[in-house]
Amino acid sequence: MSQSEKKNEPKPTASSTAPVAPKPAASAARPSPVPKQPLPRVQASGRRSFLKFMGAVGGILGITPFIPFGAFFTASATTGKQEAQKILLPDGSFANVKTFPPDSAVIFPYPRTGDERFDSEPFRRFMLIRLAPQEGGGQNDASAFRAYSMVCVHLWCLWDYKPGRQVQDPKTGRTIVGNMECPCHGSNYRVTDGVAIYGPASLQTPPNNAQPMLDLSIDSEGFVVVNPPTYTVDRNGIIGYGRKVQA
Amino acid sequence: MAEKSKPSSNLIVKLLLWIIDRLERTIFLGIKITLPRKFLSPLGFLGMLTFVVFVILGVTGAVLMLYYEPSTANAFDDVENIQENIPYGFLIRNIHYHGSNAMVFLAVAHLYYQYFSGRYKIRNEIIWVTGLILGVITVLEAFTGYDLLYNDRAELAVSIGVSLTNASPVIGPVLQQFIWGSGFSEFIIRLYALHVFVIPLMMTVLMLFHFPRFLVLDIPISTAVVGAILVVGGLMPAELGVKFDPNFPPGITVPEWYLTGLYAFIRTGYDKFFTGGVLPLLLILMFLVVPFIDRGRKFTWKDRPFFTALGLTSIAQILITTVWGFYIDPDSSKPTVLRLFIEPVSFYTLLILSSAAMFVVTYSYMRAKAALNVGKKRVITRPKPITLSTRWTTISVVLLVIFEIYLNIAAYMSYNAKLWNLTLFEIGAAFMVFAVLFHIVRAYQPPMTPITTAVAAKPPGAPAVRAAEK
Ligand code: FES
Repeated sequence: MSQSEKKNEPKPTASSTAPVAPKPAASAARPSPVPKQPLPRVQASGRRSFLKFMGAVGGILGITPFIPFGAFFTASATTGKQEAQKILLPDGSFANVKTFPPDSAVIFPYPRTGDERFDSEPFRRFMLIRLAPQEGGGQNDASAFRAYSMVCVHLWCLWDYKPGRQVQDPKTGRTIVGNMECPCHGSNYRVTDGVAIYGPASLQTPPNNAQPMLDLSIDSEGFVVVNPPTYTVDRNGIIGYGRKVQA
Repeated sequence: MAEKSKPSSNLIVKLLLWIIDRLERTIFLGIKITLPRKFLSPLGFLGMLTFVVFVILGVTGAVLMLYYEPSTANAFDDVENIQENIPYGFLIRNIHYHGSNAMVFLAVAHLYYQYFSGRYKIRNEIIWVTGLILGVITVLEAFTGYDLLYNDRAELAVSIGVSLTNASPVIGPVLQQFIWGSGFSEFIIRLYALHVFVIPLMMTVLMLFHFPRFLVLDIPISTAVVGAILVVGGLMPAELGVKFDPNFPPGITVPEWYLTGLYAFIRTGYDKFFTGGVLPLLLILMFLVVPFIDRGRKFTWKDRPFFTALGLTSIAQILITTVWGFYIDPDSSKPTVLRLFIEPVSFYTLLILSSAAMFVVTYSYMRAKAALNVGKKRVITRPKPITLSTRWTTISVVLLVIFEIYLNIAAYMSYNAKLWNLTLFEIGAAFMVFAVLFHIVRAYQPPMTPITTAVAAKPPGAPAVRAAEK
């Protein structure tokens, strides 16, 4: 900016001194021969560039650049009602720690609205899994449950839970009971933390390799409750993208 | 349009002249459109043809909007309804679909013709750069368009797009939400907004900076191109596919031909951002910098061996990746991932070797040829125009009109018989017949008599362009 101002600067002075030049006849009448003309010019041009600068600052502040308007474009599907919700089962009852069998799963929408248009949105579809007993599903608290987004972080197919299936954890070599598998390209997720262990999703760079997850708790009557999530990579994850998993 | 005709007594002509006179006040007459009186090679005005197709896409697209709702529940069914139930919906959808392919093709052809003839010189750099941007967003426009079908190919296209946004470093999560929104119902609306409004608007604005002030609008060739789109549509009607269902993998399918190259890169399994984003970008970047590197005074491809070799190499690369992208291992007993996998070592080796070979061979060949031709004067031969006598002109024009009548009846009958693709074919044929007819009429020169010589001696149009080419 300063450069363009500098470029502009000589012009006005050059063109304004030219008409001033023939004037000396008039100014000669004055007693002092000191050329007064340049001095106020410099001040004026200094003030002018200051004013221009302030104008630019005002212009920039006018459009309030520090307010993140971009959030308009990245609103989460679940913007709006984010409340603790029980999980509705197909039979009309709510998932309860006393009755929900280990090594089984159920699909549920979150947040549940009752409006088919929203509840059928894949990005609002989650799978509640009660781990197999070998993985800690026998526990009578929230640690027996997991709720993952169903949108595979590979290419957005919807994965499925395979109860009883045994897979080997490639890291530890341990055998895991119960498996999350995507029908499209065969990505497998570790049921305990949602990290991809086989297939294309496991080759993606973290956090693009773990399923987003909802936090659960158990209320006083034993119902499984979804805690309002924060969809960021570090917290519950971004649906269709992934989640950072602390090692 | 360019000619000053003598005052006419015809009322309509008077009205038109009156309007044109008033248009002088608008910006439109800053653009000079020439309607050529004789055959010119369409290579010189591929851009105008692209624009003609753009207009057709705008019209058919606007009409299709009437019966289409961008929602996960209805998108596919609406397209099916347009295709199968809405009267003439089949025709309009097919014209729109094949028009999109034609537009991408014409734009690419236009790019390469301008490249090889060195048109980005002579202060055309802005036109060149805006053209390049236009080309890229033309592909984006086509891409957003066929996602809207919400069928299995759309699923594949979406997954290609998702894999690119998700694989972007740092901005990945933001970019993913920015482009796709959060959810299937959101991305379909976003793509729709982009497809029907944002991108077309951007294109229109860019065109203001892309159109040169002198344009050639060749009616017969434009008509023939439209006819060709319809004929192709008749022969290969657009398919509906299977409805997008995220519970099932997309069937084994390939994207549209202008994306298979990208698809091949992604299928090699290396980092998707690099293979699917950075590598294709290199091609665009190459075209972007060429006008600023190639500062010589030479125009034709024959005099610029380096840039010609570069251009040919890029064509070779595009062909290899595009063709390879179509190939899918036919052994259906293998899992999908393996069938889709492209062995990266052989792929990139072939790509690099063939590019190097292509470049070296064409470059050295052209240098050698140029060395041989030093001092020789280049002779430009131009085919002699075929002129028909008055009699034959009349006969052929009458025959063509009769043929058009036949095609009209045939199109009508086949529509009623629900042979819609035949209708499309016949309408296309009628367009093409009209193109020939128009050309014969304009090429007709009345027998030389002293009175007409003065008029016949002044063919408007081409000469200026030709001269510039030397
Ligand atoms: S989409 Fe799940 S493995 Fe590809």
